[in-house]
Amino acid sequence: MRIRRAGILTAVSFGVLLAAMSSVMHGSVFKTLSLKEMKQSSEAIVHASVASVRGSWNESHSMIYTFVDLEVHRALYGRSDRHLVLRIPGGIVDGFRVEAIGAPQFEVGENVVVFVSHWKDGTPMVTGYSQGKSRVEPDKAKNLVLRGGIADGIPLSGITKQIDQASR
Amino acid sequence: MKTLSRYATALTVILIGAIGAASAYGLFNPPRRWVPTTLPRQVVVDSTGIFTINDVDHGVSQSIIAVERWNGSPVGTLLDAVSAPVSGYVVGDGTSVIYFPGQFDSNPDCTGSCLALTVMSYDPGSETCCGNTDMKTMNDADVIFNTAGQFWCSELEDQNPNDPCSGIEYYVEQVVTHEMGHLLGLAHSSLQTAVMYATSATNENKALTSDDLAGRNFIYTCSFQYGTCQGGGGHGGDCRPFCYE
Repeated sequence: MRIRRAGILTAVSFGVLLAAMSSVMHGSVFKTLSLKEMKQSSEAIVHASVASVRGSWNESHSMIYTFVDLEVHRALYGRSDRHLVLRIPGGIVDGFRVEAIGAPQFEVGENVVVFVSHWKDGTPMVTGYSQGKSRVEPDKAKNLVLRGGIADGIPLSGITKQIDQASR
Repeated sequence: MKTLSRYATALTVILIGAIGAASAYGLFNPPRRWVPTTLPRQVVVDSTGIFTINDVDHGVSQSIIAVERWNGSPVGTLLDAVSAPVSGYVVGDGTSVIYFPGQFDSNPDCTGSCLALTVMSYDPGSETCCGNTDMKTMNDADVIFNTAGQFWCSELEDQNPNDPCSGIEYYVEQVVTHEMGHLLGLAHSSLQTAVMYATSATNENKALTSDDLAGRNFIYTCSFQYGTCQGGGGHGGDCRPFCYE
């Protein structure tokens, strides 16, 4: 009996610890969106590689934006060009660094899944800020799994099914 | 058997302790703060207010109160809020604003699921020490609200029996307080009751918790000194001060 109780206590402890750790999300203040809401707010969900990242001032020199070139491997939902340029608030120009707290950050060469929608001027953006970007990384068993964002923990092989189910 | 039970109990205590430690305020990566000579930091609250807040000045006075919630012992006055017209924000201009875009703003950076966005700049080549923690020096921070895409209310509006805050509205006080925590250098707390927790629910208006204040006190009561840059450093470099010397 004691062994069982000890096992339960241990399991509960680990569960609580995992829940506490996974509840951390970076952002300013954002509404937490469900996968269904993220899909409904997106025109496409793409699996892509980050080809380049470039910071630039806007015309009025009031804000720095980062332009992220994505080479799209495939659209997991919706339609997408093979090449997408996302605009993200914040970035670095000539050593001057601006951070928009909660905006996703990209690195050249990253393998990513991105929920894509548009800013009001039509430029592609990441839906839900950092909720809409996940890195694709191998787990211990070498299976590709999504890390970060709304799709955190979902295997790449199962994401299409989860996206399909999200609309039901 | 008894040993196993003790082991489990000890493990539980350790894990709960670990959760307690994890459930605390956070600092940005890299950590950053305002240096003492730039404090108190003036924050200009857009006198336009939020057009959907139905109180005496569309939430401006309540926003000022919320900014100044971060002041007090032992840190003194960190933030000084004033009200003035704000037509936008410029990163790096040294003036901190809380910008409430009008109903017809064509290109806000905070849209959709964003309630409010803090945009900050810091010198990556700066080198300061806060106790044993390396810190960068902030040189500007602005806050942009999503006024058109979300529903807002204030504590004053809530006192109006004819128009209390409804279940779909966010308290401007809570969101301003949260963003001012970012402006002071706090990242998100994993403690759900903290103002600095990552998400806000509608109809929720938290007071600053001991966790929020512990974060503020850590940053602004440390033994502050300018560090010595290791390696190349300099403006735009990756400076690491010798805070451990």
